[in-house]
Amino acid sequence: MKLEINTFFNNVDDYYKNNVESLDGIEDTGINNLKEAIEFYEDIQRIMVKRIPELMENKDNLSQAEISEYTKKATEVFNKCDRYISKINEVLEIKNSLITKKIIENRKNPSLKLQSEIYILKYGGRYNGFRKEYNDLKAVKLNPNNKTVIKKSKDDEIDEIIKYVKEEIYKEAIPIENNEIQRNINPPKKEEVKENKTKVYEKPTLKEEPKMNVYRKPVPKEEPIKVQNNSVIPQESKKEETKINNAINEFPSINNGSNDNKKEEVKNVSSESKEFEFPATLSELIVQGYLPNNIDEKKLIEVCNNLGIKAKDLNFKIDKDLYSRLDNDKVIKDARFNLEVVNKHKQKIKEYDKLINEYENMYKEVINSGSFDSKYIRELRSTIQVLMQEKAKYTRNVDNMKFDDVSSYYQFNIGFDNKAISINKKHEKVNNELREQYQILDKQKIELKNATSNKMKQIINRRIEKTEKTIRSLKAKESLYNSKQVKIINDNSQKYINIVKYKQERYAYEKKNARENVRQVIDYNNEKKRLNEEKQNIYKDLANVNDSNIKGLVERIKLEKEVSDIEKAINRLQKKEGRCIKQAQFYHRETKNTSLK
Amino acid sequence: MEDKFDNKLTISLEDGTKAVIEVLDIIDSNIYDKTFIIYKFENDEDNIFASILNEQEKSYSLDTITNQDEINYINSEIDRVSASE
Repeated sequence: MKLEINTFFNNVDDYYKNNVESLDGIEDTGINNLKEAIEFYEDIQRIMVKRIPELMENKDNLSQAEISEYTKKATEVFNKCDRYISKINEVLEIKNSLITKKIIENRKNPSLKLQSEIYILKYGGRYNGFRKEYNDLKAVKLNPNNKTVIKKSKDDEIDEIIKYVKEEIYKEAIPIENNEIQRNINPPKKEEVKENKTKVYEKPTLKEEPKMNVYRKPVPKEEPIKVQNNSVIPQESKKEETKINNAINEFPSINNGSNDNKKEEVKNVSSESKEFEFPATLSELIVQGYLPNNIDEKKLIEVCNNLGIKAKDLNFKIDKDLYSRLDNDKVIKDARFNLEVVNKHKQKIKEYDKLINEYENMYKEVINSGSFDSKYIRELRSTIQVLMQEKAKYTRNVDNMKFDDVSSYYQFNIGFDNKAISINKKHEKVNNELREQYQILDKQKIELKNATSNKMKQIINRRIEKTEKTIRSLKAKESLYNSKQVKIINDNSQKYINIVKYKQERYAYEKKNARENVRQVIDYNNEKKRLNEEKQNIYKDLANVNDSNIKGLVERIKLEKEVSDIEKAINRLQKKEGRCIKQAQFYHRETKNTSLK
Repeated sequence: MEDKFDNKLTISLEDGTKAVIEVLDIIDSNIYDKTFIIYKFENDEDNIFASILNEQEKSYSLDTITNQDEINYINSEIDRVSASE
């Protein structure tokens, strides 16, 4: 980015001098070259507009002084481009106005050619000295033999010539006809000449899904409890209820798929807790003690993503199976273990606090009593200091302990032992192997789901095809019907009808979609080939670009952007192609037999 | 191209008149070696009928079901399908 901005900053003026402004001035250049220059400067402005916020984001880790420098340079480049564009537009306006007059004149009165030439030579022609200001005229004299001679003259002669020209021109002023002028003044723009590279793919119009009666199971109505008026509940039944409730509250709630021993130490389940129901969110699990408290949100989400649980917040719901994966992960086991250690530390700290309070109370009593036994006092003080020191160790451990740092335990109790480290590494290996197996299991689950759903659909579709075949065969035949027939009086008959209708309509809808989806897949493939060919052509052009010039830089940036846009379009087409293939997979037999092209 | 498919059949009654029925389902039973057809008439939407389908080369007939076991079989099929979804 730095190099880009420096090259633009150093070479913007040179481009103007070398390509736009010739020795004799801007006016010598043609209209097409001036328009190219305008587009070139506008492209540079667009690039600078993008680079300034990228500098503020500071992805390249620049210092603030560098950021301020390059932002200043970028703004200066932007402002210079504005100035050059305004200059060029002024010249274009005059040239376009001159062309109108030239057309008017040359069309009707050939004698006005010469007068128009004079006018052009003054304001937009090739002669010496006309560079910056249009008002500094150095006039021209006519030769009676229709030859032009360039000479220097005085200001008085200039005014006479201007008057002569104006009078002669505006005498025979002709109204403008739009067609001729627009043809010559406004040549076809480059945008119109360019072919539309990005085609707009029009989707085939599919009909809407037919409205289907959704069949739902009837919910059994709960009969309300009938209570007789003037009924007195006996007191014995109340006592039984209270006994039962007390018995339930004494026992903890049922824990599904977890170790009970650790949870009792971690947190005592409240008496008001009901039986835990899955699926539940992660935050609920933490609150109720099924997951430890001391894990950060980000770490927990990382662990979930490694196990195949696609969670982004703590409001993500989990089933029993996924909870069992979490429960057996090393990170959470270590966190639980550390919680136990912390709780035990805190118990010890409480005990120490008690002892310290007792000793301090004794100390105060001794002093207040008046009996001044110095030895006894010194011993009390020393014991209090010793207790405070030991208490400080525990508090230090609690503050410095991380939630997943199990080595602290080993250092604390066993010592810095290599055996403990090797055990920890083994656990990590097993944990990583489990995570890999979970990924394989998730894929197999999806494959099984798709396989079973496909089979069921194929079975249903075959049955519907059979019925349609028989009905078609029956239509061509004669019929015999006895008036007495069996009437069905089944309560579920209406549901049955709705289900059959739904399946038939769905079958017909998917059949249509299958054929159209296969056609779309062919179109997508053709378009992807075209885009890949364009990409390869762009890579060839990129190889021929010269970065040393500003022009080459701008071209490179444009081409790289086109490549990225093409790749995004290809990815979008691949996604659409996948969806079409899924929808059409139930009708492989038909697609083989039919000819879609 | 597909022809629009209708589940409707025209039937000639004993009188000679013709009626249109809408076929709901056709069930093949291996137990009884018969095919049952469930249908309803176009004008009646409340009543549903069942009969045996005898298909031949050039004609077919819808016969009455006399056996009670077959009727129970049809009712059990209806209950099974309606309860499965």
